Amino acid sequence: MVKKFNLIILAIGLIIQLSYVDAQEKEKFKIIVHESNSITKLSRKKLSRIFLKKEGQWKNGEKITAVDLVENSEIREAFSREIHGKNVSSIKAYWQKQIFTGRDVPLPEKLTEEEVIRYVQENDGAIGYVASATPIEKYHVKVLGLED
Amino acid sequence: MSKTNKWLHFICGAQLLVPAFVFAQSGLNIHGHLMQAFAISDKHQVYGIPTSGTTDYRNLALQIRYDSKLNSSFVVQLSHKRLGGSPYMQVEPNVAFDWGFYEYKISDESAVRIGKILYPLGIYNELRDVGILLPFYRVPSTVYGERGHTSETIDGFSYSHTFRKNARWEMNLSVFGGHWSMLEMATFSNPYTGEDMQIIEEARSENGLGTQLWLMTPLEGLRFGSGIVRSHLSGGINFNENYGGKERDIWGQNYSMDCELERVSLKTEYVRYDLNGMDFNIGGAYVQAGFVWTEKLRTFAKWESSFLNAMPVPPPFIMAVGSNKMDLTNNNDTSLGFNYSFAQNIVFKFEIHWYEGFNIEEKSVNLFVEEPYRTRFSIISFATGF
Repeated sequence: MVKKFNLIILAIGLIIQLSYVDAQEKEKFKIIVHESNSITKLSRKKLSRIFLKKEGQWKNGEKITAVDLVENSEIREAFSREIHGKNVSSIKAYWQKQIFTGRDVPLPEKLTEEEVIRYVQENDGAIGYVASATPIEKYHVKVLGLED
Repeated sequence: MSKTNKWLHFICGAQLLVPAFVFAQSGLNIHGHLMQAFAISDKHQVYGIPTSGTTDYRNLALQIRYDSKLNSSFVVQLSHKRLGGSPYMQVEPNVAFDWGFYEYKISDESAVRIGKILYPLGIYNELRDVGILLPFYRVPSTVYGERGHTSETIDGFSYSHTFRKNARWEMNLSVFGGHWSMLEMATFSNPYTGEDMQIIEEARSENGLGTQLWLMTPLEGLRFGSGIVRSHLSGGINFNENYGGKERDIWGQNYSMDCELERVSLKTEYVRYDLNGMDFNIGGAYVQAGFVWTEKLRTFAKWESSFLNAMPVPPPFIMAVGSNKMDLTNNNDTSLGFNYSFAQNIVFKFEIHWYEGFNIEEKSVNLFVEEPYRTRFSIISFATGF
């Protein structure tokens, strides 16, 4: 009886731990926009289109200027998998196709999260992403909610 | 150092020094791609690949692009192309003006291009020669041609529009118009020396008008395409009175299925061109499947074929053929390819092709009495882009 009880406790513990890991994975990054932006949340689909330059304007007509982290960033890999449903290599291939068909060029890439935050702070229509744990309080940016 | 080598060294050097030469703030971007190969054929020369092998087989392009803040872009691409012993090399400039245009984005859904624009035909026409994005060295030649029956560019305009944006069944439509050209080649036997002579002439497609429609599906990565085009063909060899030809209107139609999933891909396309006032039509088709083993290793298999239907038979051969018209499979090519990505922008490829057809280049071929020729050729290539 005690053994059975211990097994149940162990299983519950494992489930809690796995859920925690999953939650951590989901919250690996946060989306930031300029603090003057009236938007409070975006769907994953819309966010994906914005970061593939398929959406170019905010609702108020202002131009969207999205910014990426460099391709070897772990945060970018997590963002890419979670938002585009693809790895960074697939997204790079998408941009190469855009370049060599003369359609468009990739988003500007920033080396550090601080550069991303500063870029978003300096551009009213900007949008970017940084690690969930990165503090942003001292900057004029705000976090957007994510919808499914 | 030859002019070609100087050019190559300049581009490769520039890439090493500035992997992504981008003046993002000013709107100016420079990009480029390179594909260098060694190719060898075992019995006959096809696509410029001799039986002795060649490394004079490459594509290189340099693109300069300026995006203004007023939704306008100006894009120019220069290219350098070598095709080994191909007769087309007689007329290929060392460095060519590949394409260049002005684009105005009317909205997120619409854009217009004016200039020497890319011809929006099927899956691959706008990506010809971009080795880093292609599974094989060349796009399927039975559908896209290697300098023949299609063009990479149009001297004119295109207007593109996305319907039902963000919907499950999104549609992208391109309408284009203008003039374009293509090369025609014929091999004749010199009546005095008995030697084979190759003649290459440029045929012009004038007053062309066409569309290309893509229908996206709810399954991400699956899309269907179709297009139609009409133009007036003159010059070249088959449409030139000096060679006994005649100017004609030509109608083209194309159909595509493009399925690109995470681990597998399946693409198939069909094109057909009909000449006004004749039963004669030409075209081609291919099926290509791919499998992603790892992020670095991919394999591909392809079968392609081109045809000539109701082809008029010249009087001296009517008896041999048994009719004044004939249907012919011009060539078949079955191929296997392996792609290995050393890095995000460096791909090594090995491919082997089993070819059967009449487009051999070392001698003239009489389609009406000879059997198709068989050869196996291989290409080892390296592709990069920035």
